[in-house]
Amino acid sequence: MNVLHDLALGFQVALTWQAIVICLGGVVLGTFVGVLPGIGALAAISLCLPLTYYMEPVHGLILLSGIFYGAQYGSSTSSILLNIPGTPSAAATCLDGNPMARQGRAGQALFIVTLSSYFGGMVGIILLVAFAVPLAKFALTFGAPEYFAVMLLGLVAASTASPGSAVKGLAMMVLGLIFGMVGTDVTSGVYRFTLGQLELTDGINLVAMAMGLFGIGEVLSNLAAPSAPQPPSKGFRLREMLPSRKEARQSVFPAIRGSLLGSWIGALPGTGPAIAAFVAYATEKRISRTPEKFGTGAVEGVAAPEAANNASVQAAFIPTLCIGIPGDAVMAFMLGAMIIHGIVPGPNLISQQPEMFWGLVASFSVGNLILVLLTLPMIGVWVKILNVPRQVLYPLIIFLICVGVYSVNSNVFDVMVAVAFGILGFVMTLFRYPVAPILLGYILGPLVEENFRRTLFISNGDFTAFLSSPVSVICLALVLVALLTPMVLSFRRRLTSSVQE
Amino acid sequence: MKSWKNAIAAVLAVLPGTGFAADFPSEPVTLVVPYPPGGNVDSAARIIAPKMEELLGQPIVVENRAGAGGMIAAEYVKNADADGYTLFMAANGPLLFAPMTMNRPDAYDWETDFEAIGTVSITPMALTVREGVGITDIDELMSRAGEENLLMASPGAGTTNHLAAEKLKADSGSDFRIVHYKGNAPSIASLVGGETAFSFDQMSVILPYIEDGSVVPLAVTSSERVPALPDVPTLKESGQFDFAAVTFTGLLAPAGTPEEAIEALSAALNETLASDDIVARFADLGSVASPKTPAEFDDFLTEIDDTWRPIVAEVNANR
Amino acid sequence: MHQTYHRIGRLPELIFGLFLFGIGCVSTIYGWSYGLGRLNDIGPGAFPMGLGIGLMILAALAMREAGTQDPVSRRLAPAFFYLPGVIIWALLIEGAGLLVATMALILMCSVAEEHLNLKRAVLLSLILTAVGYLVFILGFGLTFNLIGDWF
Repeated sequence: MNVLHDLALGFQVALTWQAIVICLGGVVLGTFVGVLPGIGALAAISLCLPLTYYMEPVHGLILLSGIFYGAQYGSSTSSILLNIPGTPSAAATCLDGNPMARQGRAGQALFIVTLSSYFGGMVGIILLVAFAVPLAKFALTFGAPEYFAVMLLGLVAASTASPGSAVKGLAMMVLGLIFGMVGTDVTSGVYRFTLGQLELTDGINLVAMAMGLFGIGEVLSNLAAPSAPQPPSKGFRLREMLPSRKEARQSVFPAIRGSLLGSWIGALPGTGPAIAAFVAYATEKRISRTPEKFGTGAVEGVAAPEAANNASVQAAFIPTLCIGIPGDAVMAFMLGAMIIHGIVPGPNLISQQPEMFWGLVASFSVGNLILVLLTLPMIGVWVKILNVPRQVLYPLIIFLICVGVYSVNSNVFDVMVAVAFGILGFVMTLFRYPVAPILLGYILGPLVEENFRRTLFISNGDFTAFLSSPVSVICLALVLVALLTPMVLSFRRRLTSSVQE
Repeated sequence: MKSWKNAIAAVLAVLPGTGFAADFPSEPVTLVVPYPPGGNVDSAARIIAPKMEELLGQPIVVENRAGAGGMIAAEYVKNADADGYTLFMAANGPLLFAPMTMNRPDAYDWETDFEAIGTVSITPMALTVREGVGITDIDELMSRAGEENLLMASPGAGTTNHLAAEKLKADSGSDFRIVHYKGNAPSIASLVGGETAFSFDQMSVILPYIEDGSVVPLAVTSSERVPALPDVPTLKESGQFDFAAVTFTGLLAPAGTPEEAIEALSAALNETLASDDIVARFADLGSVASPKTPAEFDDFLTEIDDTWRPIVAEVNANR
Repeated sequence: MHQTYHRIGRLPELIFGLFLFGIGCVSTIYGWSYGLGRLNDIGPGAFPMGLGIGLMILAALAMREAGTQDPVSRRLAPAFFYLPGVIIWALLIEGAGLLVATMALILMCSVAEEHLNLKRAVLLSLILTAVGYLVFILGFGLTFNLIGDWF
């Protein structure tokens, strides 16, 4: 019952009118920057930081985190409508969300996305409330072998996630892995593939790469296609956009699985919503009885990744708040924001600052509710984006990408990187190479490599270190299953066909 | 537009009676931070910005230009107009050693390309051992580390922490191995979680873990003891080591900035750093607000440069 | 003139496959030069080299698939205006400022259209600059100028 008491304390903080107004402001701004391609949560958070000086610390954090999880809601909107993820974490949602929109089911897709996002967010919050401290402790026991096994599983599971040719998908993933190697090697400090460019010593900028591949590449492909995809141009009433009963039923279990996977991945330091979304998508495709429908507008392929990335952003607060170890760049910034307010995050935060911790957590549930109430009526408005003539829409998108990519580091070089990846993305779609695996390889590659090398360094070259804990054994066994299943299946198919002959 | 104003300002400056100082600053001042938002250096900039804004009567903009170990920001400021409106929020690596570690030794030189304004904060590091290892003093650590193959965590090759670790290794002759992580967070996670046994960490990040007992502090790396840990000796006190290793943040302007501007900024900075509120903010971080005159900052930089350049060169050559 | 469609056949796809093969090659060679290390201290080159070899194999396999699907017809002209447009925006943003950079970008994009509508292009660029100024410079406080230092 202690939890109830703590929650009551939290809601006393989160339900004051100032807190609600600030939360509303945060999630609205978050949705807004999420929808805009290029400008992401990190930019908005860093720009809002000075505002929080004049607030109570907990209000400041409510604002900043509202932007963070609000952006997850917004970013899927542009994935579905434009096939351009608003932030990289919504890239997986393009795979089935945009096909749905092309079939005139944009409203349904947005509806499902909003509800599964809410569901995922709430699951993440409930886990945060119930198991924050034990989960954080569990995440701490993850050493290099466990990280390696989990990341490898993510990579292998997701390698078949994209539609189309398996060979081309794998080739693109390996290309992404190579892009992930660009920059300074953490272990040795050696510069790899920097081409003498100072800017590349920190690696390829994720936003520049994602906006080039998905944003510029998509705009160019659309312009190149003989006829623009026919936008559904008639007026929309909410009722016409409700998912059918069948669609609703199909998205329930994917949303549940996505939320759990997303929460788990989000709680691990060093991961992030993009990984969570891709792994959830891949899992659904793996276990589906109709994997061939994925990539053509399957509702499961929309519900799962969106539940996962929203669950993961809530769960990402677990290591940050409970052990003071941020999972990604946005969380690192949240830590910085706390420090500026004189709150030192660490293992004692919950006991020393209960009002702040529980108030913040309670505000998450308020914020998620606001987001649903806000997003559902907006669906009709967003769908009208499809009616904007392309002579206006595409220059507008390109303009937003330019500003967004440039604003990350105030660096022109990043815009040039986006152009290079735009060309690559355009050419790839011409030849039907899938784009998403590049991003996945880029994100997971460094983690796989770093932890593989670290494991062997620590164990002094002893390969049994990879099997030193139950987590890594289970994950590596699943990797084997994932690799062997298609082979066994194709062998059996060949066997039956030869028997029939 | 800015260049017109500068031209007018330059003309006014040479006219008798109209001093440059009188109207400095007359437009927003930008602090260029060489790291992304959220880190130590960024926090320091954002802590001093509001108070300096008040004192100077002009907005202070914190601008993050991350990349290339800080070289992107450093070169940006070096090439900015030397008018006191674009300042470099520097730290050890970006200012002193990045040109060497990035293999671009001619990119800039802190002595000739920048004008020191003052230190902002100084953050000592602490040498800590995970609680479960059961080591309580530094001699025991050094003798057992080599024998038992204890691992030392580092937040990345070439960081101040890594350099101090290499010096610890060289000076003690202990043969332990250093594991690199990508930043402070995973490095501390490995220490607390049990993958590694000991490490150097900035007081700002390790203090909570010392307080809750997950790690035991053996020494601090500053020349004097740290107020937050009065019972923990300095490395020098241990007798075995004769070096200090601190990370600093400080403000610099491009070379050629008018003296009046430097003086105005230095005065505002030092008044900011003397205010109780700011001192407390930095203390919460495990850092010390450290007002210094431009000349003192120069000496301070020279000392750090002399101590660490040979070690940076050696680490650089070995990779 | 921008109406021209190009049939994307087998040859360009093979060239792209060769490009990927080339990247694999480069990655392998560079990986080798970065050092492979030892088993208990794997060097920075081991992964790039392994991945490079993997990419070469996959690129070769992918080239076998070239031309197996129906060729498509695509307009390539827009790419030749949009991409330079972005590059020009990037070159202009710091010196010339948001207004000039955006006008240049939108004009380039408009030229890619089948019928150039100069009035609409100018209007669109003015609106975007205004919105960009309000949202990004005033609203978010992003640090770039409406009118750059060049003027």
